[in-house]
Amino acid sequence: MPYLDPYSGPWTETEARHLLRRTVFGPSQSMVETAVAQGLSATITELFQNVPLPDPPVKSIPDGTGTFELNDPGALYGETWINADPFPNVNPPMLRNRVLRSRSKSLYSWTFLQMHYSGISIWQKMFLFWHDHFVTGDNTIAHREYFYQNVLRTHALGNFKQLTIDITTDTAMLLYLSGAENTNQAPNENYSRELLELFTIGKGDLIGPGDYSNYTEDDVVEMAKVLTGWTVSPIQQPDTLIGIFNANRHTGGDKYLSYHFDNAVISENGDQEYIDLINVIFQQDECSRFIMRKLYRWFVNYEITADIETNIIEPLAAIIRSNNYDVTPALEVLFASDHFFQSTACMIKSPVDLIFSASRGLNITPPESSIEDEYDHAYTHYAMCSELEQALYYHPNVAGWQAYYQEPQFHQLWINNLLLPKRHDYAQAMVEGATLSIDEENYQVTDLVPVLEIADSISGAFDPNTLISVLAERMFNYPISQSQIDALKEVLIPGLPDFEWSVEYGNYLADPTNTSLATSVENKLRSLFSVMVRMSEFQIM
Amino acid sequence: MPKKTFTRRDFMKLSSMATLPLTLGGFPLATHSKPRMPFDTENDKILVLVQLQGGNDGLSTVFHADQYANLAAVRNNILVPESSIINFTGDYGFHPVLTGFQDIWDNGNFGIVQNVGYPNQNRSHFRSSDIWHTASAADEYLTTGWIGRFYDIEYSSYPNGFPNGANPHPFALTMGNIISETCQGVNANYSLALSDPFNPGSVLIGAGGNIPADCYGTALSFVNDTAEQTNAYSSVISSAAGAGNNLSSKWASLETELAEKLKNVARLISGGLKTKVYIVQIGGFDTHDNQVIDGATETGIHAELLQELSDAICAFQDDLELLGVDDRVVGMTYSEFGRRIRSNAALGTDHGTAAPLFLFGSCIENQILGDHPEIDTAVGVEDGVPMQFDFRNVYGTMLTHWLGADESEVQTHIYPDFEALPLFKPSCALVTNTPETEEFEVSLYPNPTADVTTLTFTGNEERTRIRLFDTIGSVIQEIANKPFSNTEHKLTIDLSDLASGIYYLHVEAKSNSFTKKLIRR
Repeated sequence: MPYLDPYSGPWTETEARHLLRRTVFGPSQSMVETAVAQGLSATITELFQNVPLPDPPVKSIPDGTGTFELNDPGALYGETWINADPFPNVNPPMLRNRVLRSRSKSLYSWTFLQMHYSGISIWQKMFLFWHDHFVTGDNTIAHREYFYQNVLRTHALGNFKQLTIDITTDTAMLLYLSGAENTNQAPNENYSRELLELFTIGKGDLIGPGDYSNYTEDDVVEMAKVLTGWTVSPIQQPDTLIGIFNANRHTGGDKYLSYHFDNAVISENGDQEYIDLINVIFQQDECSRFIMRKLYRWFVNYEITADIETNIIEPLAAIIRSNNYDVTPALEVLFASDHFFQSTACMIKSPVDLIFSASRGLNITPPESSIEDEYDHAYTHYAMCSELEQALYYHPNVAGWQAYYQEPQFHQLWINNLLLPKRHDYAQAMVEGATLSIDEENYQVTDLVPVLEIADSISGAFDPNTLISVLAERMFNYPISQSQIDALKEVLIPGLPDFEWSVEYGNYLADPTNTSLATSVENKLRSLFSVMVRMSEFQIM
Repeated sequence: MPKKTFTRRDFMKLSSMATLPLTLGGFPLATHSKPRMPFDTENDKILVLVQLQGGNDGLSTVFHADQYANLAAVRNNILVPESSIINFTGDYGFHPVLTGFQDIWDNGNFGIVQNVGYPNQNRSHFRSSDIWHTASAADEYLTTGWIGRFYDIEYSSYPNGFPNGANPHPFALTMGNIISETCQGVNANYSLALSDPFNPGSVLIGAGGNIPADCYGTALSFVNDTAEQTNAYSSVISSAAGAGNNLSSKWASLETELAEKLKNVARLISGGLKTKVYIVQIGGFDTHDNQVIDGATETGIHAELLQELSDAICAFQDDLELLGVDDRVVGMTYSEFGRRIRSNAALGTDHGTAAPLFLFGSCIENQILGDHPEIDTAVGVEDGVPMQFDFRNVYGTMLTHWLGADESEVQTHIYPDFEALPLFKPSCALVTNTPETEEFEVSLYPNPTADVTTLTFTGNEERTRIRLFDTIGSVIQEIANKPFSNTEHKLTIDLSDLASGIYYLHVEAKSNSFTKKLIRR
């Protein structure tokens, strides 16, 4: 098996779709066609092109004091609240909490809008990857959530080591993993433990007392001392959004690491000491393997056999190291490799992938009627993903979503008897519309898959066999069986011969402005799409 | 509910330990002879697992009067006031919010197993949870859960052909959105997720596709099987919910998530659902900071969690009794580790080692099994409570004494060194407890020591495993693991290569299991 040799096989919609499904959320048919036309190499170049930071989120609730209105002293409707006071001067506190919640909600909606408006770019998937890697959970101050994810966005295609350095003193992280409580009087090892176990080097087998192959319990303690002194100013202070180093709370003197770090000594270096520490950690090659395995599980497959470890992980980890922990060059090699295109596509879609494959992947666009409508549309998708157990900004714990680490089920954890019906419901709602009740809130799903537009883009759609086969090619990884096609024809034209579809659809094509012809064809198509998005094949990418 | 005053006695054992032979409280022996009880048919017992996610601080949950002064020396900033502790038996006390636990204790249906853990404690949440879920050793990586492995003995083809006439009901239910790794079998997870028993959900079945023999086929079959089972199990669950009932008036004042889940469990059991294992989870026990409110230490996050736990379990037990199904149901809490003995200055505690585990049910022996942790005021910042009981012996006892497994099956599938514990009332257990208490006499001299010490003890004609642990739960040395005859034995333990500090000698045998402190000068 040629593993990381450049892929040189056919480059058709099938291969382009595989690449795009793994690198963008819900690729549309037009993106697939663009990728086919420009070739693999140009597509990868486009995927990794750096993109500027997006314009910040804006206030999406209309101003006023009515039921669906709210006044934010820091921003008018349509303006960004990012430059406003993070703790708005609003009374009573209940009203202030409403303002804070509306900002968070705006941020979550905006996060999903970024995913929607992103073209052929791996940026959004890398952002979500880092969001699942460097988990935080301060959900009370929207500004902290925004600053935190800006750190991730800034380095999304960049340097893993620098990202680790920057996130360490981010206030959301300092608060989430008790870094702000870590002092010389009372070292708190919450962050230092996760820094090693989850963020940089990973824990290995327990090979001796307190020795986890890659680090020891004593390393956790010593590193906690290095990290002492960082605090977060109270929310009313102007400097509350950046980590503050307080030398009086810092443990002075040298800190001694174990043989896993070549018995390195971290000398006293005040507010730069944590950078020295992270540099020492990243001198260990295991950091590159650790992050490469995680990237492989995120983008390719959860199963890492000894063969994959030797022939994929190890050489890609070497590329990461030779680029001083820039991850992009290794990923470019991976996505252009024989291995990527020859491995079976069997990843169960994450909720975000599922929701975008049923919306953007089927030509749904956010409404342009108003900012409020646009943000509400995105928030519905955010709520759906949360209900499907992929809540952005609300991970179940610091290890992130179980589907990316919990053996042996991995991606299968996205689906169970409770979540599968919901996945079906939400996909069906995109096709047929619905009022969904999620976490005691009602959501109207009214922006529906434009089924006529999609059918019209398929040449030969007047033949139901062609129509169904082409749709299956676009929606699933592999062709479906004849018995499935027959069953789907029963949905499209129950009890009727094929030519009846040709007649009805032909009539509509001949007179597309005739509402009654269009409606009857559209209804049939909706029934078809509604079943197809609930087929097991649609759950996999 | 009136709270009794917690009486305090002086801490005195430490000084006497070095010189006098110690008589340690033993516990009744268990014998293992019973006819095979098939897991599915004759046995209608139910096990409810309550997972305390994050690592519960056992030292703030159960107290012993002897230790209060020493606790005050090492965790004063989070220690609840002595006067607020509920004295429920002897010198033992509960955290002041645990009135529900006290209630069940007073009714004779509450068991505490002290210092449960495993050798070579791993202090990662994720790894340690995996260890508890899979019942593996600390250095062993298993991909199946302990309940799942047990079901695999008889239903290895699951999920193919399930549900069926003989097994129409789900094997296990996790109350919530995510299934528990505890129930992972070789082919599939035996548990379903359930949030609303009246509306378990159903889906369109879209099978009929080709299933290739690769990972795509695996994924596709998995989704198809989930869809089919969703529908098949959906109707039995909702009809049990419809037929079931809740009778306890205690539910009315409880609005917590845990109460809601346990209430549903009671309803489903009373409605005739034959599911044998229920898993409910309560998160938030990872109390690194602000475990208590400064200056009001009987309040705060940990107190709220304990109250939610205790109130919900108390209502559940009351409901089971009123519904007349209490003799078929027992519950057990577990958590990935206890917390450190020393608190930190952020009013919290970091990841530790062993902790008490709680059992409830009308068939549970009302007792405190094991010794209360002895708190040394000289403990280091990293030190945890040393383990006394291996959690796999608790699991194994649940399987043999309650769910009907053979001892040999437990040894094969759960723990080769399995020794049952007397967790159940003799009238209930499938395996009889011999009502006989063995005393185990040991002495360690000299202690403290700079080089060697001699362990003197009388054997009990049984295999006895003796190991030396350090204060973070790692095994330093295995001293013996063989049968000892019923005479006096002397073993020399060489500590000269060890750093000075505290160590624990752990002795484990069928008749007894305990931990002794040993100081290297």
